[in-house]
Amino acid sequence: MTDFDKMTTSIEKLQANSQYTIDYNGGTVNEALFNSINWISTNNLTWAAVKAEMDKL
Amino acid sequence: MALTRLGLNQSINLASNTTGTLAVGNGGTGLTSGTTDQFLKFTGSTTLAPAEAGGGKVLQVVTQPKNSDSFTTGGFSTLFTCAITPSATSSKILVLASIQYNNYGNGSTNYPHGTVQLLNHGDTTLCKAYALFGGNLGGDSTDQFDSSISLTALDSPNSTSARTYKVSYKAGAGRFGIMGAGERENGSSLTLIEIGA
Repeated sequence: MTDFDKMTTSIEKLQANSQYTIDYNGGTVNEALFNSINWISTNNLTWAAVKAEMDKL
Repeated sequence: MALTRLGLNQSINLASNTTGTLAVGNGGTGLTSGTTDQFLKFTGSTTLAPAEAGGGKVLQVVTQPKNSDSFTTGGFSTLFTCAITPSATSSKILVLASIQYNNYGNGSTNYPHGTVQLLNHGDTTLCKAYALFGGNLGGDSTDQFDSSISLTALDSPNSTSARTYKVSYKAGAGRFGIMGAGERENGSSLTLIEIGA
Protein backbone atom coordinates (compact mmCIF):
# COMPACT_ATOMS: atom_id res chain seq x y z
CA MET A 1 0.00 0.00 0.00
CA THR A 2 1.49 3.30 -1.09
CA ASP A 3 1.35 6.52 0.94
CA PHE A 4 -1.28 7.77 -1.47
CA ASP A 5 -3.36 4.65 -0.86
CA LYS A 6 -2.88 5.15 2.88
CA MET A 7 -4.13 8.72 2.60
CA THR A 8 -7.33 7.88 0.72
CA THR A 9 -7.90 4.81 2.89
CA SER A 10 -7.52 6.95 6.02
CA ILE A 11 -9.95 9.54 4.68
CA GLU A 12 -12.47 6.78 4.03
CA LYS A 13 -11.95 5.33 7.49
CA LEU A 14 -12.27 8.67 9.31
CA GLN A 15 -15.01 10.11 7.12
CA ALA A 16 -16.84 7.29 5.36
CA ASN A 17 -18.42 7.90 1.97
CA SER A 18 -16.48 11.10 1.41
CA GLN A 19 -16.72 12.27 -2.17
CA TYR A 20 -13.83 14.07 -3.79
CA THR A 21 -11.48 14.17 -6.76
CA ILE A 22 -7.72 14.50 -6.64
CA ASP A 23 -4.82 14.53 -9.12
CA TYR A 24 -1.76 12.66 -7.98
CA ASN A 25 1.31 11.99 -10.09
CA GLY A 26 3.56 10.11 -7.77
CA GLY A 27 5.02 12.91 -5.67
CA THR A 28 5.25 13.19 -1.90
CA VAL A 29 2.06 12.64 0.02
CA ASN A 30 1.88 15.61 2.33
CA GLU A 31 -0.35 18.42 3.55
CA ALA A 32 -0.08 20.24 0.23
CA LEU A 33 -1.48 17.21 -1.57
CA PHE A 34 -4.23 16.84 1.02
CA ASN A 35 -5.14 20.50 0.56
CA SER A 36 -5.36 19.99 -3.21
CA ILE A 37 -8.33 17.66 -2.79
CA ASN A 38 -11.44 18.92 -4.57
CA TRP A 39 -14.16 18.04 -2.08
CA ILE A 40 -17.56 17.19 -3.48
CA SER A 41 -19.02 16.31 -0.09
CA THR A 42 -18.38 18.33 3.05
CA ASN A 43 -14.99 17.80 4.61
CA ASN A 44 -14.27 18.09 8.30
CA LEU A 45 -10.92 16.35 8.32
CA THR A 46 -7.55 17.93 8.95
CA TRP A 47 -4.24 16.79 7.56
CA ALA A 48 -3.02 16.06 11.10
CA ALA A 49 -5.87 13.65 11.70
CA VAL A 50 -5.39 11.93 8.36
CA LYS A 51 -1.62 11.69 8.86
CA ALA A 52 -2.12 10.13 12.29
CA GLU A 53 -4.41 7.53 10.79
CA MET A 54 -1.98 6.87 7.93
CA ASP A 55 0.76 6.12 10.43
CA LYS A 56 -1.32 3.28 11.86
CA LEU A 57 -1.57 1.50 8.50
CA MET B 1 -1.74 30.91 -91.07
CA ALA B 2 1.90 30.52 -90.12
CA LEU B 3 3.43 27.20 -90.95
CA THR B 4 6.59 25.83 -89.50
CA ARG B 5 8.50 23.16 -91.24
CA LEU B 6 10.14 20.72 -88.87
CA GLY B 7 13.40 19.25 -89.86
CA LEU B 8 14.45 15.72 -89.07
CA ASN B 9 14.85 15.22 -85.27
CA GLN B 10 13.39 18.66 -84.51
CA SER B 11 10.85 19.07 -81.66
CA ILE B 12 7.66 21.08 -81.31
CA ASN B 13 7.83 23.58 -78.46
CA LEU B 14 4.67 22.64 -76.50
CA ALA B 15 5.08 25.64 -74.20
CA SER B 16 4.65 28.22 -76.91
CA ASN B 17 3.60 26.58 -80.12
CA THR B 18 0.28 25.03 -79.10
CA THR B 19 -3.19 26.47 -78.44
CA GLY B 20 -6.57 25.05 -77.41
CA THR B 21 -7.12 22.00 -75.23
CA LEU B 22 -6.42 18.36 -75.91
CA ALA B 23 -9.59 16.30 -75.74
CA VAL B 24 -9.98 13.35 -73.35
CA GLY B 25 -10.38 11.05 -76.33
CA ASN B 26 -6.96 12.11 -77.51
CA GLY B 27 -5.29 11.58 -74.13
CA GLY B 28 -5.84 15.08 -72.75
CA THR B 29 -8.11 16.47 -70.07
CA GLY B 30 -10.17 18.86 -72.13
CA LEU B 31 -9.34 21.50 -69.51
CA THR B 32 -7.45 24.76 -69.59
CA SER B 33 -7.24 25.19 -65.81
CA GLY B 34 -8.37 23.86 -62.43
CA THR B 35 -8.56 24.99 -58.81
CA THR B 36 -5.93 24.34 -56.17
CA ASP B 37 -6.51 21.13 -54.15
CA GLN B 38 -9.29 19.87 -56.45
CA PHE B 39 -9.18 16.49 -58.16
CA LEU B 40 -10.06 15.39 -61.69
CA LYS B 41 -13.36 13.63 -61.98
CA PHE B 42 -14.97 11.94 -65.00
CA THR B 43 -18.26 13.71 -65.56
CA GLY B 44 -19.04 11.59 -68.61
CA SER B 45 -17.36 8.87 -70.61
CA THR B 46 -15.20 11.41 -72.44
CA THR B 47 -15.31 14.47 -70.20
CA LEU B 48 -13.36 15.50 -67.11
CA ALA B 49 -13.89 18.33 -64.67
CA PRO B 50 -12.21 19.62 -61.50
CA ALA B 51 -14.10 18.38 -58.40
CA GLU B 52 -13.81 17.97 -54.65
CA ALA B 53 -12.78 14.59 -53.26
CA GLY B 54 -15.56 12.08 -52.62
CA GLY B 55 -17.42 11.60 -49.31
CA GLY B 56 -16.05 9.85 -46.28
CA LYS B 57 -12.71 11.57 -46.30
CA VAL B 58 -10.87 12.50 -43.10
CA LEU B 59 -10.85 16.27 -42.85
CA GLN B 60 -8.99 16.76 -39.58
CA VAL B 61 -7.82 14.95 -36.47
CA VAL B 62 -7.44 16.43 -33.00
CA THR B 63 -6.17 14.52 -30.00
CA GLN B 64 -5.77 15.30 -26.31
CA PRO B 65 -3.60 12.98 -24.24
CA LYS B 66 -4.02 12.91 -20.47
CA ASN B 67 -0.67 13.22 -18.71
CA SER B 68 -1.75 12.98 -15.09
CA ASP B 69 -3.42 10.51 -12.74
CA SER B 70 -6.85 11.55 -11.46
CA PHE B 71 -8.91 9.83 -8.81
CA THR B 72 -12.46 10.15 -7.61
CA THR B 73 -14.66 8.72 -4.90
CA GLY B 74 -17.71 10.68 -6.02
CA GLY B 75 -20.23 11.13 -8.79
CA PHE B 76 -19.61 12.15 -12.37
CA SER B 77 -17.06 14.91 -12.87
CA THR B 78 -15.30 16.03 -16.03
CA LEU B 79 -11.92 14.44 -16.44
CA PHE B 80 -10.55 15.97 -19.64
CA THR B 81 -11.78 17.55 -22.84
CA CYS B 82 -10.90 17.96 -26.51
CA ALA B 83 -12.32 20.52 -28.95
CA ILE B 84 -12.77 20.50 -32.72
CA THR B 85 -14.25 23.00 -35.16
CA PRO B 86 -16.07 21.12 -37.95
CA SER B 87 -15.47 22.51 -41.43
CA ALA B 88 -19.02 21.73 -42.56
CA THR B 89 -22.38 21.20 -40.89
CA SER B 90 -22.71 17.87 -42.70
CA SER B 91 -19.54 16.46 -41.16
CA LYS B 92 -19.58 13.70 -38.59
CA ILE B 93 -17.19 13.47 -35.65
CA LEU B 94 -15.73 10.11 -34.73
CA VAL B 95 -14.95 10.25 -31.02
CA LEU B 96 -12.35 7.82 -29.69
CA ALA B 97 -11.31 7.57 -26.05
CA SER B 98 -8.62 5.25 -24.79
CA ILE B 99 -8.63 4.99 -21.02
CA GLN B 100 -6.34 3.29 -18.51
CA TYR B 101 -7.90 2.97 -15.11
CA ASN B 102 -7.23 1.84 -11.56
CA ASN B 103 -9.72 0.36 -9.14
CA TYR B 104 -8.91 0.40 -5.45
CA GLY B 105 -11.11 -0.79 -2.58
CA ASN B 106 -10.01 2.18 -0.45
CA GLY B 107 -10.30 0.03 2.65
CA SER B 108 -14.07 -0.04 2.39
CA THR B 109 -15.12 -2.45 -0.39
CA ASN B 110 -13.96 -5.69 -1.97
CA TYR B 111 -15.64 -4.76 -5.25
CA PRO B 112 -14.58 -1.29 -6.32
CA HIS B 113 -16.04 -0.10 -9.58
CA GLY B 114 -16.35 3.01 -11.68
CA THR B 115 -17.90 4.35 -14.84
CA VAL B 116 -16.44 6.40 -17.69
CA GLN B 117 -18.55 8.20 -20.24
CA LEU B 118 -18.18 10.26 -23.41
CA LEU B 119 -20.19 13.48 -23.66
CA ASN B 120 -20.75 15.69 -26.67
CA HIS B 121 -20.85 19.49 -26.73
CA GLY B 122 -24.40 19.54 -25.41
CA ASP B 123 -23.44 17.19 -22.55
CA THR B 124 -25.42 14.36 -24.10
CA THR B 125 -23.96 10.99 -23.16
CA LEU B 126 -22.61 9.28 -26.27
CA CYS B 127 -21.51 6.07 -24.57
CA LYS B 128 -20.38 4.63 -21.24
CA ALA B 129 -18.03 1.95 -19.98
CA TYR B 130 -18.21 0.15 -16.66
CA ALA B 131 -15.02 -0.85 -14.86
CA LEU B 132 -15.58 -3.46 -12.16
CA PHE B 133 -13.05 -5.23 -9.98
CA GLY B 134 -15.13 -8.10 -8.72
CA GLY B 135 -16.10 -11.72 -9.11
CA ASN B 136 -13.37 -13.98 -7.77
CA LEU B 137 -10.78 -11.23 -8.07
CA GLY B 138 -11.89 -8.76 -5.46
CA GLY B 139 -11.10 -10.42 -2.16
CA ASP B 140 -9.71 -7.64 -0.04
CA SER B 141 -10.58 -3.99 0.41
CA THR B 142 -6.96 -2.98 -0.17
CA ASP B 143 -6.56 -4.90 -3.43
CA GLN B 144 -5.99 -2.96 -6.61
CA PHE B 145 -6.77 -3.69 -10.22
CA ASP B 146 -5.54 -1.94 -13.37
CA SER B 147 -6.92 -2.35 -16.86
CA SER B 148 -7.98 -0.35 -19.89
CA ILE B 149 -11.12 0.40 -21.82
CA SER B 150 -11.94 2.14 -25.07
CA LEU B 151 -14.99 4.17 -25.97
CA THR B 152 -16.10 4.95 -29.53
CA ALA B 153 -18.98 7.11 -30.72
CA LEU B 154 -20.08 8.85 -33.91
CA ASP B 155 -21.58 12.29 -33.42
CA SER B 156 -23.34 14.62 -35.86
CA PRO B 157 -22.81 18.11 -34.41
CA ASN B 158 -24.49 19.93 -37.35
CA SER B 159 -22.32 22.96 -36.64
CA THR B 160 -19.22 24.78 -37.79
CA SER B 161 -18.55 26.25 -34.36
CA ALA B 162 -16.03 24.79 -31.93
CA ARG B 163 -17.41 21.60 -30.32
CA THR B 164 -15.98 20.34 -27.04
CA TYR B 165 -16.16 16.64 -26.20
CA LYS B 166 -15.62 15.43 -22.66
CA VAL B 167 -14.60 12.35 -20.75
CA SER B 168 -16.15 12.20 -17.30
CA TYR B 169 -15.84 9.55 -14.62
CA LYS B 170 -17.37 8.48 -11.36
CA ALA B 171 -16.71 5.95 -8.65
CA GLY B 172 -19.44 3.46 -7.84
CA ALA B 173 -17.58 2.02 -4.85
CA GLY B 174 -14.06 2.50 -3.59
CA ARG B 175 -11.63 4.77 -5.40
CA PHE B 176 -11.59 5.02 -9.18
CA GLY B 177 -8.59 6.41 -11.02
CA ILE B 178 -7.94 7.38 -14.64
CA MET B 179 -4.27 7.14 -15.38
CA GLY B 180 -1.91 9.05 -17.64
CA ALA B 181 1.33 9.65 -15.74
CA GLY B 182 4.48 7.80 -14.81
CA GLU B 183 4.49 4.27 -16.22
CA ARG B 184 1.25 5.15 -18.00
CA GLU B 185 2.49 8.46 -19.46
CA ASN B 186 -0.08 9.90 -21.87
CA GLY B 187 -1.76 6.52 -21.48
CA SER B 188 -5.28 7.89 -21.69
CA SER B 189 -6.45 10.09 -24.54
CA LEU B 190 -9.41 11.59 -26.36
CA THR B 191 -9.24 11.80 -30.17
CA LEU B 192 -11.69 13.53 -32.52
CA ILE B 193 -11.79 12.80 -36.25
CA GLU B 194 -13.89 14.92 -38.60
CA ILE B 195 -15.32 12.82 -41.43
CA GLY B 196 -16.59 14.66 -44.50
CA ALA B 197 -20.09 13.85 -45.71
